[in-house]
Amino acid sequence: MTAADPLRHRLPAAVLVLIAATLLPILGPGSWVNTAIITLLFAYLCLSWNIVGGIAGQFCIGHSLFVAAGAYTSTLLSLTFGVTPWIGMFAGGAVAALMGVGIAWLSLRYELPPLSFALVTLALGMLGYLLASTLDVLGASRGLSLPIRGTPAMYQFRSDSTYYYVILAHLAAVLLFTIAVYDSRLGLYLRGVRDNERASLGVGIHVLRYKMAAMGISAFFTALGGTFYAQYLQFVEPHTFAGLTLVIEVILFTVVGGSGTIWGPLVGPLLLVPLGEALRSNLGDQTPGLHLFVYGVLLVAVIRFAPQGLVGLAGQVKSRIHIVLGRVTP
Amino acid sequence: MPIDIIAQATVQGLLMGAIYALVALSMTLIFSTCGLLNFAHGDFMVLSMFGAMLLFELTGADPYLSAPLLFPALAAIGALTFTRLVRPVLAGGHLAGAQLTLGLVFVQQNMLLMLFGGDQRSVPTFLSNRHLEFLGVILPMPLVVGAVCAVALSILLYAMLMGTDFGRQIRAIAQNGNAAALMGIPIRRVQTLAFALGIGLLGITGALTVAQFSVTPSSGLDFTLVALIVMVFGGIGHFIGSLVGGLAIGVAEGVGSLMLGGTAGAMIPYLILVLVLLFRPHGLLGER
Amino acid sequence: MLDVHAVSASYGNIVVLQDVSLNVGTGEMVALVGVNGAGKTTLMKCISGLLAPTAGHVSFNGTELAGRGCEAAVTAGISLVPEGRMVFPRMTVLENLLLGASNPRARPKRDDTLRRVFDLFPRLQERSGQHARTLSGGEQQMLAIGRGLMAMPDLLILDEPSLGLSPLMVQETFRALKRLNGDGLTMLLVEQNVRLSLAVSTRGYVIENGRIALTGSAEQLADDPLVRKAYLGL
Repeated sequence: MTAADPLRHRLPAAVLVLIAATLLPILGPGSWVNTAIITLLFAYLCLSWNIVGGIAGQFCIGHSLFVAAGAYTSTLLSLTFGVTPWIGMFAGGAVAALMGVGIAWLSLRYELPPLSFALVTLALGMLGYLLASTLDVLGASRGLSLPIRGTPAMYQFRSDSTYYYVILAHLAAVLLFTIAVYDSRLGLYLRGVRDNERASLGVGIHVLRYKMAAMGISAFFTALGGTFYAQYLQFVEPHTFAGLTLVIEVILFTVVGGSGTIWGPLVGPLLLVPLGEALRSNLGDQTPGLHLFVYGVLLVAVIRFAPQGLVGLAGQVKSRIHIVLGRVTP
Repeated sequence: MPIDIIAQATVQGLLMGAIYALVALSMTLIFSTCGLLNFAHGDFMVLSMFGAMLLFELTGADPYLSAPLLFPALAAIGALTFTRLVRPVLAGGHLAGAQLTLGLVFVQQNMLLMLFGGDQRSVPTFLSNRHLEFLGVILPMPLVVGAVCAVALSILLYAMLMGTDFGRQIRAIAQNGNAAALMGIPIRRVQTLAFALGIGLLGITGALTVAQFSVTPSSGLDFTLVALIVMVFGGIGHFIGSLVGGLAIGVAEGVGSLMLGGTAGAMIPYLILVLVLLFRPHGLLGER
Repeated sequence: MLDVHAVSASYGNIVVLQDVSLNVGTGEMVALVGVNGAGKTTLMKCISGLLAPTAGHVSFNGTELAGRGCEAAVTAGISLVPEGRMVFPRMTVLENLLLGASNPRARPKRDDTLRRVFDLFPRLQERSGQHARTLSGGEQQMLAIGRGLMAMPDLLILDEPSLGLSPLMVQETFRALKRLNGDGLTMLLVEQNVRLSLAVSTRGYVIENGRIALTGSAEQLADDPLVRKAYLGL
């Protein structure tokens, strides 16, 4: 197998998935659009988190900071200076990327005890949440509301399906980026860092620099998702945007799908978010929390019985079928 | 600010800190012997609180009476969790273990939510509404009793760790797992017992403090975070450090919220966690 | 007593041991010598149960031990004093020694064994209340050997006991080992210090690149031109 091979069949697969997704608002029933938007948003956030949390193997629990950075930056710019969120989202992305690189530098420069990175980012995430709930500039716990202007120039649309295409474009960008990077030199180094930090140090990879890069890129993409979410909901508020729940769900979906793979962060939310929404809308009144309970059980079951996630499980099943059929792939 | 209010906040913080310390000690016990970062730690305590509540509603039993029952119950749950879920997963690394416990958080929280609803609850004990007045400081009795019991249990745990074969084996595994194995220490059995003991202690702690904290199914994460902060503050795997750390964090939180107001005060522990991790990664009392 | 037969071991894809056979008879003191990275420590891990060999057998007094873990090896009567000593740093000397007798075979007679260890290394008794990390390198080595003896082994294996010690300490350590062997304890001595280990042993093995390259009596090995050239610098 040559190095170009994976790209040759991953790219068409990705393009097919994306084309199929463009058709959904046309073919699917109208009531699905909201669920579809949330699903794609989660898929987008999962793919973004996966860059640092999965591929580079740095378990970051602080991504709420980056969602919030994107949402608050673009919203504040639009409310105070009238800057369109189309520009504001990149400002938010830049803020988040700087934060991400800074956090990575601060917390990864020493050899800390295992899992310290998770704890530092968790604490920073909580600090961010508390800060957003206190600072009056950020609207404190009430949050900020966006005026409903309804112009696409201000990143606001009358039709939900337009939001759908916007988040789909985001998703396409991060998915293609992931595919492009996965087998590139950067991707190989990042996976090397994840699998064996000492060996990577031995062959002269500047580990810290790659971790910082992964964190910066991941934070940037995540922040764009924050801006989208704010524009879609037309408000920003600490609990939704800076709380831990969102991050933990992102991590959960990614791990269930297959953390560190290309397709896992896509498959996880595509299965779980609609499932959760269905459970919540049908049984949510009688049994609140049922969908989260199901998420938890799935996560536990996947980690226990299929530690590579659903994607890894599928790969195993596939290779077993190949063996059974006697045509082992070379 | 009048001195008696600060004194009140300090003493109340110390009492809370004693409880925090015990929760952190059980987390340290589990982390250092089994290598598991348990995000569901506080949820096991909440589980015990709801257990005490259920026993009260069914039989009218005072939570203080339920505590000795909840110890073996939670210990058994802990042992099962460890042998069936945690140990097989930990073979794949620390990270897989931590992720597993995130799943357990979802499972436990929402199971309680489905069974009991999301309202804040508390259970009366025979000490509710009683207060202890001491040098002008007024303290709720349930808090005093909870703290005193927590200190007593911490001392017992410490004595066990320092003075028994089992305690020495736990410390040996924490300090050098391979060397401990070479001594012929039955690693798996000691780990299972340590895990069960840690969760069992949460069973007692939950029952003893259910009168003090009003609790919801989602309270667990708060206790987990405090325990994490205390554990890191005192140096991971450092038992005395966790004790001192608990008291320090309790006072910092109590006095901090008094001086700076609720939210800003709540930020102090996290700030401490970040600073300690970044600049004293082995804890304030840890060596190296 | 100890019979290692055709053992192979690897870490991931890297093969470290290939088809290694070795035996130690009751009362013997056998040396296993070789340079760093030859596979000595890996072989010790296989014998003591820290690592499961990918192939081959490790039997001790007729009990098969390969892949059965450390507890089985200690129960059968093998005690390993590991490379780098691996004492428990934040425990006292006494606690370290007590932990050595964790196994049921040694636990009942713990106090007697402790007295004998203190007789052998009076320094440990003087320092019994001190934390192990405050000991000197030589004292830590004594502690590691004492801790190994606390398990009441039939076979004591020492992995690099001379590593990092002053020449004086090395002499003292080897004198203690010689005395233990004289009292009837079977020993397997793993060393880079070829001259010294062949001087105290009855037989020896030379391991190179994960294979046994040479074996014979200590005198034969010490006279072997290859050993003299490669290991003794003569």
